[in-house]
Amino acid sequence: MIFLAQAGLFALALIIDASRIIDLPVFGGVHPLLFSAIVVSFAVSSGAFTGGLWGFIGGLSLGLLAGTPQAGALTLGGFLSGSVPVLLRPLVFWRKWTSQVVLGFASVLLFNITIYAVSAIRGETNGFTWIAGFRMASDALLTALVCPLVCAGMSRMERRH
Amino acid sequence: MFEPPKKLVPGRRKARRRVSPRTAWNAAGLLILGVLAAGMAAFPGVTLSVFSPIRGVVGFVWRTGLSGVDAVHGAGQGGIRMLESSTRLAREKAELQKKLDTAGGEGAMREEEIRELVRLRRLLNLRETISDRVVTARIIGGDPSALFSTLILDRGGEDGVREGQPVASSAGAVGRILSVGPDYAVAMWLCDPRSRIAAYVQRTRVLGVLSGTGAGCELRYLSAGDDVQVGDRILTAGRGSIFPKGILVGTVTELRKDGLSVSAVVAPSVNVRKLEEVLVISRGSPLR
Repeated sequence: MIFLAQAGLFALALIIDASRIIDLPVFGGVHPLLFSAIVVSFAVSSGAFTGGLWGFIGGLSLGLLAGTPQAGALTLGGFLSGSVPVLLRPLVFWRKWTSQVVLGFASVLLFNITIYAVSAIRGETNGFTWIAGFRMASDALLTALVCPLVCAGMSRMERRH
Repeated sequence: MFEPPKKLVPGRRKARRRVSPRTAWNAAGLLILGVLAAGMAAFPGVTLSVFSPIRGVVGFVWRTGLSGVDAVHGAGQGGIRMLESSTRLAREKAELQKKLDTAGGEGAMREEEIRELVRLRRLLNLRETISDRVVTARIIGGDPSALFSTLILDRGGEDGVREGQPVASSAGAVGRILSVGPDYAVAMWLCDPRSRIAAYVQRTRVLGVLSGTGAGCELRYLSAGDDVQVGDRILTAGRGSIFPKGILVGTVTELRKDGLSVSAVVAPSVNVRKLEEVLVISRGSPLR
C-alpha cells in the first residue's frame, strides 16, 4: 500500500515537472525538479540502490515521453542523481535538513550535467552557454529548498504505515 | 570459567569486515543498473527500439496526466483572471462594480473567450498564408531539464504530425517536431541548444545559421563585411526543407565580433512561456 502511494506521488511529481506549471520567470523559466526531490528522499531513507532505481525509472519514463536520443541520457542522469549524491551524506550531515538541502542540490546538478555531457559527447548541442549554467544552478537551488519538505512528507508517510 | 578478551578471539576482526548479504545485493544491483543506464546512454537507438512496445502505454499515461494538469491549470488561471478582472473593475466605477459583482464570473469568462478568439484568429490568418497542410495543436507541457527547451503538444501521429515538421505560431517560427507519439508530439524550440536552422536578415538578405543557446538564439557564420544591424528582422530561409521561407524568427539585439567571424544575438519573436496554441506545418502536403 505504501509502495503504491509512493509510486503515485512519484508519477504525479513527474507529471508536474513535465507540465512546467510551477515555472518561475527567471532565465527563461526555472523550476524545482520534484521527482528528483522524491528520489533523494527514497535514497536517504532506503539507501543508494533504492534511490538509483527510482531515479532510473523516472529518467526512463521522461526519456520515453520525449522519445528522443536523450532517452538514454535521461535514464543515466536519473540513476546517477538518485544513487551518487547520497554517498556524500556523511560529509554534509551537520543537521538533518542540511544534508537534504545539499543532496537535493547535488542531485539536480548531477542530473543536468549528465544529460549535457552525454549530449556534448554525441555532438548534439551548440555549445555551453552561461544562461544554461544559470538555469541548471537555479533548478538545483529550488530543488534544494523543497527537498527537506519532500523528505519530511515522505518519512511521515512511511511512519504512518 | 576463564573467558578470553573479545579482541583476542581469533577471526573476530575478519568477521567484522564481512559484508552483509543485503549490502552485497545492493552493490550488485547498483552496478547492474549503472551499466544498463550507461549502455542506454551510449546506444539511444537500441534503447528506443527495446522500449518501443511500452512507449504507447507510457505515452498514454503522460498524455492523460498532462492534459489533466493542463485542465486544472487552465481552471486556476481562469479563476485568477476572474479575480484580477473583478479587482480592476471594482476600482473604476461603483455603478459598474455593482453590475459586475453579479456577473463578474461571466464577464471574466467572456474576456477569456475573447482572448482565445483573438489568438485563434491570428493563427487562422497565419494558416491562410501557408499553402501546406497544417494541424492546430495545444501546448500541454515542456522539458523538465534545465538544458533543453521542448514543448509537448496534444496532437500526434494519429493527427498527421510527423517528425521534423516545422511548428509556428501567429508571432513567428516556434521550432520543429522532435518525436511523435500516437496522440502527442514533442517539439523542439528554436532556442534549444540542439536547434540549427538556416535564416536570413530581411533587410540585406544576408544568410546565416540560427543556433539555439538555451534561452535565446544566435545567427552564426556571418562574415565581418556582412551588413547586419541591431533591430534587423530575421526570417527563415526555407532551405533544408524544415521551414517555409519568410517566417519571422526574431530581431537582432546585439552583434558579437570574434576575429573574422560575426554573430548576431537574436531575441525570438515568440515568447514560448506565453504560447498556448501552435500550428504544425506539413510541408509538401496539400492544404487540408
